[in-house]
Order: sequence, then structure tokens, then C-alpha cells
Amino acid sequence: MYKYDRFDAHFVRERVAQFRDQVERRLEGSLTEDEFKPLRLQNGLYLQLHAYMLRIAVPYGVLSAVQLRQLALIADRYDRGYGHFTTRQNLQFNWPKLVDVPEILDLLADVDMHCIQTSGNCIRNVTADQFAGVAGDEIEDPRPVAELIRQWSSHHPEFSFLPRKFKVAVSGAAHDRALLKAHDLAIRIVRNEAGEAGYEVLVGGGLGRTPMIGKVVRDFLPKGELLPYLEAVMRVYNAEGRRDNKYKARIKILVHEIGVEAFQARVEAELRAIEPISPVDETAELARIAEAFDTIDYARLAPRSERFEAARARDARFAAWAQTSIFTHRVDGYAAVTVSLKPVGGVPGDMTSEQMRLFADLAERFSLGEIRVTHAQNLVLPHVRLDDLHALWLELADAELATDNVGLITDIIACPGLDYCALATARSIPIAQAISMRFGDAVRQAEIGPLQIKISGCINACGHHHVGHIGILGLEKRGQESYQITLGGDATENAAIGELLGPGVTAQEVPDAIERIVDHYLARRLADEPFIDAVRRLGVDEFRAAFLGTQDEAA
Amino acid sequence: MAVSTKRRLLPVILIANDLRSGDVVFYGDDGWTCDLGRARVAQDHGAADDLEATGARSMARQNVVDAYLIEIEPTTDGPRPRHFRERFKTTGPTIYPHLGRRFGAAQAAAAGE
Ligand code: HEM
Ligand code: SF4
Repeated sequence: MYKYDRFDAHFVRERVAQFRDQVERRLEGSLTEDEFKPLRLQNGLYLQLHAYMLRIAVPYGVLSAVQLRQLALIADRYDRGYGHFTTRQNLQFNWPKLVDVPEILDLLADVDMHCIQTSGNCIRNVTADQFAGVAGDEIEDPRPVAELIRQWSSHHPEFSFLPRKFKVAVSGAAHDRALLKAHDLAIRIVRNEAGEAGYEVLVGGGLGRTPMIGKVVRDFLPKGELLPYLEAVMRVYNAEGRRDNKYKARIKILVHEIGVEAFQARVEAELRAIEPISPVDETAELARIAEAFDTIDYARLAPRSERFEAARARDARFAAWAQTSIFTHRVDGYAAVTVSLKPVGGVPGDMTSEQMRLFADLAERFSLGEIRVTHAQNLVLPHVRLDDLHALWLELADAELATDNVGLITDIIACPGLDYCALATARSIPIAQAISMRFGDAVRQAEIGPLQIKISGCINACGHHHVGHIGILGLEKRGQESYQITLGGDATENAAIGELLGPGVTAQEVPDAIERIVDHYLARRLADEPFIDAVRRLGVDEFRAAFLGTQDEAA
Repeated sequence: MAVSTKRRLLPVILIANDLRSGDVVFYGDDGWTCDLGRARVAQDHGAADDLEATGARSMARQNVVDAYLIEIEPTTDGPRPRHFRERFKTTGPTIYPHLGRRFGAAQAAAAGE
């Protein structure tokens, strides 16, 4: 894993000291809430419905066992014994007291963690493919680029007060697991015809009230030219992004309003103006960072593990878990293992401090001390020997962490919704729980196959509902929680925004409505045809009729 | 979330978050309390305006944040917020009843507050 240098460590400590002072001034009354709010937000501290909420950055989703153990300690000492992993690969604590936050930030700094740029109109914590550096389908490890962007963007004086927040994602793989096309800016490592690696740059994606799919603004940016290019994009956005209307302030609106060609032209013009003065030797810095990542000594193993094959043949439940949870590693004899944080009927993304500690131990025993957080609110052990999989599974099962539903209908993304969030219009977690209970049977889930349900508690779309195969959006209708259901969204390289199926339904009606859609799929699918493929082939209208059927019967 | 006087449906109570802890609090006859049952209920617009002014003063004095009036209906168990958002705010997350207000109250009791 990348290790912070002295400069980083100093920078984080200094920030904690500043915030400690700001909290003191707030408590003694010399700062008003209006003055204090931007300061606390710059340190990831929100005020939610029931309490403050602290959002902790997990840069590009990479977490160590030592860090997770520290999070467990904070959960016990200063929170209520659990944390929540989010779609932005961060961790949120739901109950910190303002007076304790400086102490919490110090504990985080002890393990190289912080809350910087997890909020506010700046370049936010960079997200990445959770299998970065281990994926079999990868052209190149995107983590060094992510880290380069983290360093470049941290406290960047010019880009700390943008028109609106700015979210960056990176991936080096053929398949998109980082939701690249729903980010303000995304970088995909690609090869050109000469076989050289470089960057494809996308701009203008986003969810929220005006969902948009990102557009390619450069199909091949040579290595060594990334930072000037990013700087040019940011300058164009900073100068021309709308500041008059918060709902039109994201870069997606600018790109949409002036068109992608005009946007490209402005970026290229800016680039010509700034290129000669770029201060960093990007190539050397990237090489230095890459070296810091490349420290893993894998054992030389056979591609096939007899022990794993035998366990799989012997134990059907293990085989079912392995089927959904294992991802091909680039190194022979290893696997990346996704661990579901979606127990049937549970709260998506929540983890107790006890589970955190146990998981940290397992990461040390089985995965070289490394953990990843996925945007689907699950965790990954990225370097597990095939030989060890069965032993790992037994231990996970003991901790109730062996749910075999990764990628299936009960692996639901849900934002905190009205159970925590001050902006929510309806609850989302109980909807996820009800669907999970309805479809919880392991055989039935396997029969249905890959299907992604994503739920948001308001139009801000933190739960990614727009890109769910089935998306659910909680709203208020005549004094009641009401849920709109969309179909056909896609969060991969085929990114698509789902289409609305009809009028909103009540919370109680949601599981039935989902079942109608699923039953229609089961009746109409071709052999082995995944849900999203069937929706594309058959068209949304057919499913709309099935969905509306629910309501006819109810009437 | 503040309700304008014209559209305000009586009765109302004053809700906020405690500055130091973030806990949900209500304005009662003895000042801010975690106990919804002890919230002062304003039955007319004059009393509601007074409560609102109290909220503004309390925020200015840095005791609480995000103070505003909520519409309630009186029940035998005390005030019940009319809107589901405020009902959830007064009870805590519906998914973890054990982590809601009772947890906070138990902690406060343990700390001898
Ligand atoms: C204090 C709680 C939260 C607040 C106040 C908040 C606020 C917002 C707002 C206002 C937007 C819309 C931005 C826009 O359209 O310009 C948004 C989008 C988003 N938020 Fe949150 N959010 C919260 C919690 C979360 C959580 C828990 C997650 C992760 C599960 C999350 C992830 C996202 C994502 C992925 C988007 C959509 C992507 C985008 O277009 O920015 N947020 N959030
Ligand atoms: S989608 Fe809405 S309800 Fe859900 S976390 Fe975001 S702001 Fe809150």
C-alpha cells in the first residue's frame, strides 16, 4: 500500500490542530454557525437529522487492516459501535459529538486517515475500481494516477472554491466497475494503436436531479500530460461553470449547455496557455508513486488449486459463495474476494466494530493486510490464495459475513435516506430490507441471477438509483413516503439512465412491484440471459405493463 | 423547514439539535430537553412567535443549531409530529430502534446529566 510521506503526515496533523481551534471557538461562542459550517464541512462534518455525521475519506477505496481496526476503536469510543460504507467508498459515522471530533481526527491521523475534501465545492476524494492493481482484465494499475490526483488536488488553492463539488473516478480495466460515466471527470487507462498506455478522459457525467452520462473529451492523452490537462479542464469549469444556480452548477450542465465540442475547444485553448508553466515532473512523480504501490511479494503458485477444487466439490454452500464472491486475480493462485455487507434483511453497508476488528484480523491472515471498499457498499480482500479460500469462508461465516449474494438481487445499494439524512424525502434502508427479505432465499436469488437494485431517499441520487437495473427513488406524495421505480439503468461501460415505469407506489407496495418485474423477466428471458440484457432486448414498455398490472390488481 | 406564520398549522413545538452533542432537543418550560413529552406546546400564533424567537436567541447564544417549529397533534402520549420526517427525527432511525433516542437518554443518564 502507498505510505504517506512526512509532508502528508504533517499536513494532516496541522489540519487537525486548526479544526480543534475552530471547534473551541465555536463552543465558546466566537464563531457563529454560519461562520463555522463551511469550516466543519471542509473536515467532513455534517449535521444530520439526529446528530452530526463524520465522513472519512478512504482514498480510491484502499484501506489497511490497521486502519479498519482504528475505525472500530473510534466506533466504540466515540460513536455507537458501527459505521456505514458509502457509494463513494467512504465511511460515515452517524453519531459523533462535536466536542469529540478533534479527538477523532487525531485518532484518524495516527493511521494516515482524514476527512479532507469529503465535502464542499472542491475536488472530492478520488474513487477507483475496487480491483485496481489486482484485476485480471487490467491494462495498468490506476492507483498511482489516483494518488497523483489526490496529491495534486489536496488543498489546491485555485480549485478549493469551485462552482460546485467535483468528483473524479479512475480505472485501468477493460470493464468499468467504478461508474466512470457518472462522474464529473473520469480517467480510463487505455492503449493506443502503437500499444502505448495513456488516458481516455471523460467529462460531464453525474447523477442527482439532472442525470447525465459522461462524454469523452480526449480519447488518448499521452502519459506525462495528465496534470496540465486536468488543470485546463478545471480552469474552464471554474471560470464558466454557473454560480448563479446551485442546481445548474455542476460541470455536466456546462458541458451540456455549450456542447462537448465547444468544451473541448476551450480546454485545448487553455492547455496551450498553461502547458509551459506546469511545475511538476509528472512522469518522475508517477514513477515514484507506482514504486511505493508495487511492494507485494506474491508467492509463485499454480493457477489451479486442488484444495479449493476439492472443497468446492465437497461443500455446496461454499461453492455457492465462491461462485458469487471470487474475482479473477492477475496473479496465478490468488483471488480477490468480495465480502457482502448485505445480510438478508440487514442495513446495506453497515458494519459493527466487532466485525471490523474480526475483518481486520482476517485481512492480515489471508490478504496481506489489505482491504478495499466497493462503490456497491461491500468490502474486498484483494490478495487471497485459492488454497485459503475455504478457511477464510468458514471464518467469515462465523462473523455473519459470508452472505452469498454479491451482484444478486439482494446486493442492494441504499443511501441513508430519511433514517439519517436531513435532505431525504423518504426512507431508503427499510425498502432495501423489505426487498432483501422477499428475495432472500439463496436458490431463488441464484435462479434470478445478476440484478442490481439501487435506492435513493431523494433526488440527489446518492444511492445511484438512476443507474440501477431497477432504480427506486423515495419521494413525498400527499404527506406519505412514495417510491418511483425506474428500469434499465446501467452502471458499467454501457452506462444508461433508467426509465420511469409509472406513478409512485407506497412503501408496502414496493416488494410486490419488484416481484412483478422479476417474474416478467423470468417468464420472458432466453436461456442464461441476464436481467439487464432481457430488458434491453424486450424494451421497457413490456415491463411497464407488468409493473402497472400490480396497480390494477390493487385497485 | 421553518413554517411561515400564515401556513402554520397549530399547535407547534420548537425542535433543534444541541450544539455540542448534536442530539435532538425540544424547548420546554425549563429550557432545552431531550424529552419530547416536556416540549412546550404553542396553541396560538402569539405563543408560536415567542417560541420561534426563543429558537433564534438560542442559536445566537450558541446553545443549539437548526432550531425551527414543527406542527404536532397532541396525543395522550404527548405531542406527535404531523410530518413523518419530524416523527423520525424525534424517534431516531427506524431501522435501529435500540440506537435511537432511548440510547441517547441512557447514555446521558449514565453520564449523570
Ligand atoms: C449528509 C449526507 C449527505 C448529503 C447532505 C448529501 C448531499 C448530496 C447532494 C446535494 C447531492 C447532489 C449533488 C448535485 O446534484 O449537484 C449528492 C449526490 C451524491 N451523493 Fe450525497 N449526500 C449525503 C450522503 C451521501 C452518502 C451517504 C453517499 C454514499 C452512499 C453519497 C454519495 C453521493 C453520490 C454518489 C451522489 C451522486 C453523484 C453526483 O452527481 O454527485 N452522499 N449528495
Ligand atoms: S440521496 Fe438524498 S436522502 Fe439519500 S443520502 Fe443523498 S441526500 Fe440523503
